[in-house]
Amino acid sequence: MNLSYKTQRIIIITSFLALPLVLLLLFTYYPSVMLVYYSFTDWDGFGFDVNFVGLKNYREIFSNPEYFQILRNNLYYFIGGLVQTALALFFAVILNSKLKGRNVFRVILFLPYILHQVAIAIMFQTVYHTSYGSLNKLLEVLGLEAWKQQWLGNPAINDWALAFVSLWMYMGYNMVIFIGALQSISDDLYEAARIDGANAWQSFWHITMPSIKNVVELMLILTLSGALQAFTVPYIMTLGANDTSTFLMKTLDVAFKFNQFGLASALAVVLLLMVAVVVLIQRLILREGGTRV
Amino acid sequence: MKRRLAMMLSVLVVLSLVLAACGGSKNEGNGGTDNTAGNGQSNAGGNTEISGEIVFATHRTDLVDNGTYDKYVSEFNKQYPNVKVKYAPYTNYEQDIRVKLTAGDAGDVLMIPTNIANSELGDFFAPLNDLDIFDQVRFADFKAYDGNYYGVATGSSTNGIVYNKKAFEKAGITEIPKTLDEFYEACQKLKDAGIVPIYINYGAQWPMGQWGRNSLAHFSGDVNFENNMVEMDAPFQLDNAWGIGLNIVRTLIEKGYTEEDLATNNWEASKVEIATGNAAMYFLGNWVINQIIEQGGAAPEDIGFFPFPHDNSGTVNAVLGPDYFMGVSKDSKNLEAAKAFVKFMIMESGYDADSGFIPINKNNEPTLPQMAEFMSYNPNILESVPPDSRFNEIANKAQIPFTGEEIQQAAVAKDLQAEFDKLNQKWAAAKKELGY
Repeated sequence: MNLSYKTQRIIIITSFLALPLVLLLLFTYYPSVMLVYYSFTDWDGFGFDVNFVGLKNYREIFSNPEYFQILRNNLYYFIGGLVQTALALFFAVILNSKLKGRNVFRVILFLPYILHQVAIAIMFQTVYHTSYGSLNKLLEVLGLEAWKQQWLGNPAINDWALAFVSLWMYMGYNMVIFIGALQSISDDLYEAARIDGANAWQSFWHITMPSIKNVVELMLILTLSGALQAFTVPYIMTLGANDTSTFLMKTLDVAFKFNQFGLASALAVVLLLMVAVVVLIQRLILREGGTRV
Repeated sequence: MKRRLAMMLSVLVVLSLVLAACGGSKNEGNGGTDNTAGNGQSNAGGNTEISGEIVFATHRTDLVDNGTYDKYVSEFNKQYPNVKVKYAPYTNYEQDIRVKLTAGDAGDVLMIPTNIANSELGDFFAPLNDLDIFDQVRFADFKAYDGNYYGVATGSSTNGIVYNKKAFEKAGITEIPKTLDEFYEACQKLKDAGIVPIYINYGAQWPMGQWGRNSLAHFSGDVNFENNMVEMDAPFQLDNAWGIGLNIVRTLIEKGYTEEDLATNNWEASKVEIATGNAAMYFLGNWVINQIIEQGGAAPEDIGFFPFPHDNSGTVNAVLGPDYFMGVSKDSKNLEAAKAFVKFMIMESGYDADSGFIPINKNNEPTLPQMAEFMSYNPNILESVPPDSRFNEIANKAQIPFTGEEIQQAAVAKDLQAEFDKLNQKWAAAKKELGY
């Protein structure tokens, strides 16, 4: 066979791309399209009895305040996420300096991210346990019996306790990314600043921050969308008891407990849109600063 | 629609292959059908006319692993040597089997998922009327629709207090409580002796259903209470079964008669606590007795079972309810073999007794000693009635889970009436929307 270079190129490119494209279409785009389709139906998850109901599911979501009230619980994860980003930056700056044994500290702080989420949730269950959890035992040893709590049972603090778990889990990951960004800043800048008499805070605020602005922005987006999708930790640790249910848990309940797959698909689409809108707004606001994105 | 077409095509192809392959024996099988009932049982050499391979989908992965099912199947094969039984065990049965059913791949014999409406049973299951057992078993009408019986219960349970006799002894309790006040007194004695009086397993969520939907008939004395809820606009009241259950569990929590940590799921660990006597009681079904003995490691003679006194009247109710129902898939290729297996499992295998159930065959006596103890207190036995499918429809519409989650919430809510008002409002709205 005598094929021109151009035809050969096309054949090779298509054949290499075909498999990943098919996989992508089959396992990402096809389900997403079906999700949107189901959100306009009353499918109950059984059999093929699917009826088109138009916007009924969406009307239900936006007319029933219960669905959005539950987002309040996601707020804890967002606040936790902000603290997490700040802490990560703090540790990144410290561990980026010429500290003795900094690699050991980096590994220690990063390790939680490598652990499996489920393992972490189960681990923290035993930490928070009221009668034989290590946290309450520690408080006992320190003579702080009065501070002992039902960490997961008390509605006033359980969401914070759960948000802390997710903070502890993801902080190391954020830190590593920050360290990567910090390492790309040239030392010359700091040296010049020092010569001009800048103190540590000034060089952080005027050199470090502007240089890693894009990364901070990315972290905030990830934090927010992560908070909206908080699921594993509360699901395993409390099953939503004592008012710790999140939006995603509610969506799953609607689908698998109440057999309303159509409505649940609509909830998932709404969640998707919320994340998209938030990301868009964030980008628009941050773009105003003038730097390229 | 494309997908459906493709699936149907592939199913057709597979079906036609299978039919072609066993076309010869198929006729024989059909011929044998008529006299199965007549000579199936008496045929000492075994029924060789019924043959084929059947897949048995089950939630009891433990019985697959420990060989109990193998024992049943080898007994079964003595009667039907040409039937080969394969297992399809699911650890997350309820969830997984629904997917399999939708995909048409649920096996030949399976446990019927709990939330299929009876009117839809015919879409998935074959009628079992010709098994001729429905006059002997309990709960025959539960999975029946339009005169067709689609499922047989595999066991029967009742709820009561499972207790550790050693713990009762240690706390100086000599008499089994027969009224609610006596029950609270026993709790106080246990607490004073440093024993957790009753493990309600709040954190595991599902055991909390015991103080709600699972015990409506028990607390009201009316087996139709749940079905009547379909007609009520405000079924959650402080002075009916809902209020009784919640008041009891709230009292238990308030007085510190339960496990201390309410948030964590300690289900597995709690069995050991009961077995060792660190905790004294469960309010659960009799099925848990075997688990405390086998998984918790209790000596069988240490574990007792008595009916739960929900008030001070002195008569104590006990409601018999069915466990999973066994059915045969409508699309089974070896229908007769599958039906024969169901009949064997229900009537002959001893599955119900081995699993600690009350026998499903009305003529058999329970073998578990704890059940004998339970019956010796002369409870007022109520046999539950088939559920009204509208109940689940309303519950799903109203998004009231009835999984114990609503009890978790109401048990610790500051104002129970407000909690009930919320539930009533959801219930009434869903009922109205569905037009019931």
